[in-house]
Amino acid sequence: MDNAMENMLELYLFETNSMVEQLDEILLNAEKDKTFSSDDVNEIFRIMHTVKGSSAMMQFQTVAGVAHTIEDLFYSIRNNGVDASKLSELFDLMFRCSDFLKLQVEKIQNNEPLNDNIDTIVDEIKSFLETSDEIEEKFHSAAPTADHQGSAGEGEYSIRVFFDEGCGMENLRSFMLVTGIKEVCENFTYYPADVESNNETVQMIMEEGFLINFTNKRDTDAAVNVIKGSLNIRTYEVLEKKPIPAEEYHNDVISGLSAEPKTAAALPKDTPLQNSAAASHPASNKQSLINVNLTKLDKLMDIVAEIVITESMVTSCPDLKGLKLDNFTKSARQLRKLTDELQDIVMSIRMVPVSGVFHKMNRIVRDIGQSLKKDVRLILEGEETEVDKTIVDNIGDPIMHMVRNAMDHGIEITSDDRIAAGKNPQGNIILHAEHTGSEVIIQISDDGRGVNTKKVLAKAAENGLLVKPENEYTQREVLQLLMMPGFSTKSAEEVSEFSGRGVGMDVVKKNIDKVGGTITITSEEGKGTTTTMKIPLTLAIVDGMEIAVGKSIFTIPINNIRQSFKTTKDEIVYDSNRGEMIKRMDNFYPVLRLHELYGLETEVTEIENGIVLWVESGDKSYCLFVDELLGEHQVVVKPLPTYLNSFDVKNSGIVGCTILGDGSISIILDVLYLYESSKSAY
Amino acid sequence: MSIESTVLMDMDAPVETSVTMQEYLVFISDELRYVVSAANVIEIITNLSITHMPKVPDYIKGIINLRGQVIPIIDIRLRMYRSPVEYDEECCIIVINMNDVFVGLLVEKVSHVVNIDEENISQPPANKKQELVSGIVNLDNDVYLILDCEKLIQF
Repeated sequence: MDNAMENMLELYLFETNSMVEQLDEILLNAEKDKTFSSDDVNEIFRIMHTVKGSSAMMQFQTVAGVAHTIEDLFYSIRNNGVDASKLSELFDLMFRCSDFLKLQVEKIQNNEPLNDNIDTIVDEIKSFLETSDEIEEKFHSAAPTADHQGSAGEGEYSIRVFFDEGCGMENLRSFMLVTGIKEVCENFTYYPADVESNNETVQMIMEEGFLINFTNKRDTDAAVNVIKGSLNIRTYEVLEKKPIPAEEYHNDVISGLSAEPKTAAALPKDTPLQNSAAASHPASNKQSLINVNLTKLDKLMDIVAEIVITESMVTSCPDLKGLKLDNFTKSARQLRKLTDELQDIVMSIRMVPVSGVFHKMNRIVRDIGQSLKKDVRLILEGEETEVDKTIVDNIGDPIMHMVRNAMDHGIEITSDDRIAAGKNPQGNIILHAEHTGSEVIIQISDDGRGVNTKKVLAKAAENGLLVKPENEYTQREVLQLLMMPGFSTKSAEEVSEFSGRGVGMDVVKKNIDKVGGTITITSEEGKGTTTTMKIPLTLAIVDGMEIAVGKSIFTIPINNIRQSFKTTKDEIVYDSNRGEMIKRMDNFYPVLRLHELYGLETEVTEIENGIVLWVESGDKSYCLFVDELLGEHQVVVKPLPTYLNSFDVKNSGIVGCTILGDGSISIILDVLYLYESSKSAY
Repeated sequence: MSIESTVLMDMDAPVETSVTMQEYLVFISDELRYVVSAANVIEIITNLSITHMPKVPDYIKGIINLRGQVIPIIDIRLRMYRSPVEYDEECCIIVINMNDVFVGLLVEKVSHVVNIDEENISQPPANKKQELVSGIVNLDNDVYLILDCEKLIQF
């Protein structure tokens, strides 16, 4: 039961979150058009209705209460329209409501107690409702039946549903059932008809069951399927005869002779799949999509990873050495092809478009724009770009920080400033996403003031962040300063509601680091600022080069390697600190000896005997001296054991490990971190 | 106290274990008998090649691949600040699971399993700092030190 409950809660959260997001989007679009179309009103009405129903079922009364009041509001709007002068007030009110709902859902997610006091927001909605229009009649039910008695006689089939004893809230469960059935057929009636608003029906449903009438067999069958997939249903029976008029229903209950009773025990009602069917999205165009728990996908990914490893274990099995096995080679090649394909598909399953994250920014631009009186347009480019789910989860906050920064610091304070600078009075913020081979690039650019390097330097000096004289800083280094922890160009009294607490940029950097990405800022004073995040597309499987140093084996991602070459002592030059350098393509690159850095024992210490790898990552490029290259492999990145993370191994260049075909472990090196750790070591 | 417990053990141990009885695995490191709760022990392995990890303290011998899972290995001798020794065939790795953190303990020898009554566990003397020992037990005139696994995995 606990498990079923958890599943339901998860579904509820997922559904409500997407509903509220949808609401936001409708509101934003409507606000842009400065009117509510009837579609919008119906859609909001439907959303609130669903949120109310599911929240009440999950016993989140505050959420249900607010949703109910909003529903009332839109019921009135649907019937009576809304006064144009009231529109902006309505939009503000609705945005506050959607914020409230979001907050509540977040609290549910974090297992925090819900805000019991919903009176203020409910009162606000109600007072808006009263001032805008007189409500003729309180709204009761969204079901297409106005009067059960009139239509009850038309049907020829009916289903009577009994719920589990003591499951509680029978009326709401009935209502959920009705909502579910509405998805599959339209013409049906039910009794009692006011289940949703009338609590007294609970008793009636408990005693006599919940009766649903249909006009034809097809609808009935479809409804039976819905009922089978619902929770807490003890039994149901399909009555194939002249339907019982509601008034006589009382007497006929016992004599349901042609009834075909079924017990719920035969129904696999607790499986998650059935749950999702019961609570599935009302929008009918989403039939081909299913919701899958991410942990299941992670497991699938793990298994595929194991298969990749096992495959290379089999094909490079030492027992096969020296044998000529034509058929085996052929089959092995086929297997390789299939595992590659499997891997691609599993990866693609985890890919989601960034549009969800991008669209959330609309709301932020709107809110900040209103409170700071800035007229800014948000342009989204490449929002259909797909990235791994874990990446999407990790880039949401950084993008939000960046957009806030652009709104707050980037765009000029007044439109007059913009006109004076010869720009369009309306500011632009562009969110851009694209794929480039193995990376996804996300750019946030604004056409605002740009970064004032002098101010940045002065501020950095004030906070003691400078490590060399001010005039030695290049433009690029100055911009890097922005991402230092504790840096904020605003002084304490200027800290605004939206940004400027000095935690923004370094948090952004940390988040991007977490998914293995890099972040750079470019800016031209007076013209604007562009922040670019580069994030590796997939985290789990990489092409790696195996290298050996002494007895240890390491893996370096192929896409970090530019070249590998042999060299001689004569080619080595020294810098002022006696650091070794090699000249490649007219540039000098520092030489890093892996065995020295990691203190490994090896016989290869002369530069002639080993091999040099020219590696590059982010803006760092250098040469790595190792004993020998062992070959190229596709490897599955495994995270290091959590215990080791406490020793900060990542900062010494070790980002993970992988299991080789023979079962031994190879350590995966991060070229960038390796370089930085060498800097701090010397 | 200790005499009483010995007597108790002699009478009760072979017959049945009381509710507060727990099984502990005894291992030997630097001639001392340590015990870890058997409930935490996943398995004991010998002869596994350890991959050396650079840039970690000496007492972390490296990582091993245990059926696809990567597990760090802690050398108990070095962790207790003893001098390193050449390991022979008797030494082995005890894999334990503490709150879903898996670590392997490299020890000189695993000897046997004992039943310890919780009541017989006494606190280590406060004045003599035993960093990773959470209790001391005296059974059959042998002293066992209870390894504090939780402290071991925090660092």
